Amino acid sequence: MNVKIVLYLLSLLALSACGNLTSEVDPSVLGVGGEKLVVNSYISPQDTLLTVKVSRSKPAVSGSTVVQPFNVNNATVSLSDGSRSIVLQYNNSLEYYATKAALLPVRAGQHYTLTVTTPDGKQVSAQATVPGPVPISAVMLDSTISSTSTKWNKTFRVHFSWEGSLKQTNFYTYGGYFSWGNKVPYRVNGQTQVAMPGVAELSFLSESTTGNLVSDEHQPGKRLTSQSAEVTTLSLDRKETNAAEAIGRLSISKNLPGARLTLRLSNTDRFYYTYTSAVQRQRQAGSNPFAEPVPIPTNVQGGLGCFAAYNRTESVIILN
Amino acid sequence: MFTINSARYTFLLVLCLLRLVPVLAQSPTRYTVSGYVYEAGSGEALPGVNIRLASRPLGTQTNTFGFFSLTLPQTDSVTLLVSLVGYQSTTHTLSLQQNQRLQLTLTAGQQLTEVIVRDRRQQFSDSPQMSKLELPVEQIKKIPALLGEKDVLKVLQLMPGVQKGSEGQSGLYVRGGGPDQNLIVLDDAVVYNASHLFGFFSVFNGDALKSVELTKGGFPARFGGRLSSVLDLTMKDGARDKIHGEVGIGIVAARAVLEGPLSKPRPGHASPGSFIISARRTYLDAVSAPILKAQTKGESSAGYYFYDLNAKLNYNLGLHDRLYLSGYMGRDKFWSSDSASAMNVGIGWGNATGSLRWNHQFSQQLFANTSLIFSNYEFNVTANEHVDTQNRFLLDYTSGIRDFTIKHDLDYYPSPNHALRFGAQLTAHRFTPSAVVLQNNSMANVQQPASRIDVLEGGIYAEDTWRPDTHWRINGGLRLSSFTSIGVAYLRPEPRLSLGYKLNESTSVKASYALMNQYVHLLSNTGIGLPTDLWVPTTDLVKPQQSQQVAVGLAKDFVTGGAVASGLALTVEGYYKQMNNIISYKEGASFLMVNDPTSAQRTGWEANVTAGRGWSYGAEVLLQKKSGRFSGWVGYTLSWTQWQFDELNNGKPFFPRNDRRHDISVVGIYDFSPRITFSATWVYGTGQALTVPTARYRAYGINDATANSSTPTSAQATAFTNTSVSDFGAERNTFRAEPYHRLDLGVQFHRKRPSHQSIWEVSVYNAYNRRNPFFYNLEGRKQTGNQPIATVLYKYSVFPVVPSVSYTYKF
Repeated sequence: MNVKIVLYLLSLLALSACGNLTSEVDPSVLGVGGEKLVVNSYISPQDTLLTVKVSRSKPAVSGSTVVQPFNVNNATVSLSDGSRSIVLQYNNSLEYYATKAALLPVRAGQHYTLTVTTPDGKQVSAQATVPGPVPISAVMLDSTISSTSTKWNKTFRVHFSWEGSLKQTNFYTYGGYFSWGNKVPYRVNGQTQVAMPGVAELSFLSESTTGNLVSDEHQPGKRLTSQSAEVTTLSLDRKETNAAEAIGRLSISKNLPGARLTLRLSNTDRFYYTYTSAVQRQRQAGSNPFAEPVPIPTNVQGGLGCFAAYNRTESVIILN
Repeated sequence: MFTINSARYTFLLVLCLLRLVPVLAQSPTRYTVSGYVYEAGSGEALPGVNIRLASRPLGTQTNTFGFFSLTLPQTDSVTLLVSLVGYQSTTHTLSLQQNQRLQLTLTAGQQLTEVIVRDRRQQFSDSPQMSKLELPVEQIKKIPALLGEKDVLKVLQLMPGVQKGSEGQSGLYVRGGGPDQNLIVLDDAVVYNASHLFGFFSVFNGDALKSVELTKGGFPARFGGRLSSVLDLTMKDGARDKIHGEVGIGIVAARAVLEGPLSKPRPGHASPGSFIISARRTYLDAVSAPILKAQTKGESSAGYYFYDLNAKLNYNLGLHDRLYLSGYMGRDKFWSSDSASAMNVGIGWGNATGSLRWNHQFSQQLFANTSLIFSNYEFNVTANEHVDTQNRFLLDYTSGIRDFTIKHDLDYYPSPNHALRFGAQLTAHRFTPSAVVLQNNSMANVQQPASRIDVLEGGIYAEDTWRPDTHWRINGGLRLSSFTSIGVAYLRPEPRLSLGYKLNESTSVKASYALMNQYVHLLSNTGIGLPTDLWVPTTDLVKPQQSQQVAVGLAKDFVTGGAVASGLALTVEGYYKQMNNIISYKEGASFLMVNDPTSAQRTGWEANVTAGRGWSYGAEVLLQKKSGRFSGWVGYTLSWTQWQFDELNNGKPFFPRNDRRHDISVVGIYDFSPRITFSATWVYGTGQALTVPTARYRAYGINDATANSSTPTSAQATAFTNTSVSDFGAERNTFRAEPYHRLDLGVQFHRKRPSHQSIWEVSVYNAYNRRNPFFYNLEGRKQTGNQPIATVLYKYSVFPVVPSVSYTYKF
């Protein structure tokens, strides 16, 4: 075989190989259905305002890459406990349907039905049952001392625990915040500053893949403990006299008068857990092409979204 | 010797209890003919050779090491018919008045196109085995391949019941099972990752292989450990007559083989041993590195290569003993370095296997093989950024699996009616799911020490191939598999049964049942053979996978003129396979997350997998033209595969990615003249089942309505706030990718001389430039003017028409 012939053939073939390897697909292959109503509502006995968000989904292949809210403001939204039913009015500033909770009290164990109807004839509905309250049974506060080349640091952390019902699988989400009165004026550059009350969110370490959502589904017992969160870090300059000993004596209340921790535990229904963790996982997976796709479940019949109920308990710790 | 003899007597005692030996005791004097069959010239031992009596449909086959044994009644003259597809059949007549040892040879057929694929149909009367495919390596070399790199696994994908994943990928999906469910063994050593270059090439270098067998159902008891298939590859032993060599050069890689006797053979005496060494390496890096360096003015360099090394030694230690030492090593390496950002990145992965095997003949009827086997797979990522002492980042990630195995197998041939096999195997696996060292000035150093998991996997088996009469062939067996780890222990029986019934000389029907357990699992996101795929053991949370498969089949040779024509052959098989406790990543999970060294909590892989069940059923038709100038086959598979996982798709059954309703392959080879061979393949497959977003919307969180109030949002424990999400429709994998089809063409020009031979090959992959889908993605597309960016669904293809040329020189 003549090498020249081979090379000639090859160059011919190489020419034909040119072309774009990416092509746009006709969106009709996706079998896109029409727009759907999206309903998001979460109710609890602690609510002062009952709120429902109504929006629309758009076909994936359409318009802008950033999803617009596609707010729906002309729907009829009603909530019923089986015996009584109320209609929620659209609130223009919130862009939510809302009503005072006192009009239809949300009670543990009660079954609620949410119905949304739009003028174009679409109707969707969803149901939820309010779980019972689960109190926070213990709060643990601890501190650690560390140092850098210039400072001594004392870091306070908190975590807490609770015990759920043995009868069924329980689902929770938790959080909290740290606040202090801070009425003592302080001086900066010779000027006296009036202190403002301080509030700081507690940032709990994340549970694996689900944020601060937890379930006792695969737990041997029903006693659960939160991840820990840093409350605050107090510092002393190393140059101060007896700094090493003084740091041990530092307490939050001396530095931050009126300091208190508010810890909140919500006992949620199962669907809240399923839905919320799916949204979180889809966000985490992002555009990673190797992640398994995360379908977002819905309990809204005929639509999309989530109608869930929870029961929140609170534990307030005054830090002396 | 005492121990060997006592072992032998114990063994015979066991056989007496099984009522196998009395057959011998009652019958007239019997003698045993045993020996080896070799290829003429090279002296390569030949497995799978049929040795049949010319007078009666009775016979045997050589085992993996080329050994056979036949025990027959005393007679003055008996003629043995020795045949193997691709070789010229011979006869051997002998007088059976005493035990005899034979050294038979077969000459490779002059017409290389004699047979493309053997299904052992010809030997149906001797074997009840079904669902087994054998590929002659010589034929693999004639079928056109991507970039001219001949690939065993991709040729197997052209067979019914075996499917590919994505375009160009070498992973095998056998009867609805995933690539994780294939046991791939090279000279008894398990190969854990059979992919080079992210799955586009397999690690098996055809130059070093002697035989390739794929069993997709009706598994004999000697096989175990995976649900869906066993791919048994045997390396060549090396020529015993003289030194031979081969060099080849293609578009992406070069290869070389050297083989020969260990000592100079004397006339009439073959060398007692031989060797073979073969190597392959890509040279894309050598070509691209200088270009990249020039383009970036020397600031950046990057490259990729892979190589394979196969080596094997064998030595006869006398009449009864032989030693085989074989090794494989392959490695992929990608690196990049950039002097501007002071960043160096390296990704490397590879397998290393080694096996030392000792054949011993206790008697002419009892053949033993003892193997010591090592296998290792390692994946490593390093990243090192060192701008100055204040600014430093170091990542070193390693995962892998390492095995030590001891295996003992006995083949016993008491009479032509029975062929028994017994054996035991014990493997110590060491899994290293991840070991991470991470250093960064801005965060605490993370040292996740190698979290090693040591487990033991074992198996003992017994099987008998029984030929009660001229019609029935039965292979029955039992395997006991075991698995032990901390807090976990399993001992499971695995019954196996294959039946064959010969309707007439050319037609037979078969049925089989097999139960399989799998104690090691592969976590894989993509179905692509990424090196990040992670082997993990069974644990207290992750149970062993189990499958049960029944298959029925019909095999027919089309007879012309009263003899089995070397013409057309047809096999039709139907199967149903149930798989339990198969695992998958949970929705949203990926390798990146499982192994994220920066996550606050160490997210174990167990937390990211979920178990479910699957079932697959279908029909396979294979019509082969086995000889003549034109040869080839047509394969068709009609199949359904479904999965059901409690935690996927809301617990509803769905079609996994590899569900393929129709799969067609057509392969043709035409010897135009002794110097020119044309070949073509065409494949068609239903598109993959994928999950693609159908709609998008905003999801609102628990307190988005009151987000502006004075209380911090976390006090409400907000898991998310107002976020864009995608709706994938009502169910998983409801989108079907476009069907896949492709035509490959090749032509080979042979030039043969007494002392050497050369081959030019020109081939075209995807000849009509079909844009087969590799994946789909939703992306923004810029519009003209002030229009917002539009969302568009794109289809990505990887290979347009790809021409290639290669040259091979042999001596």
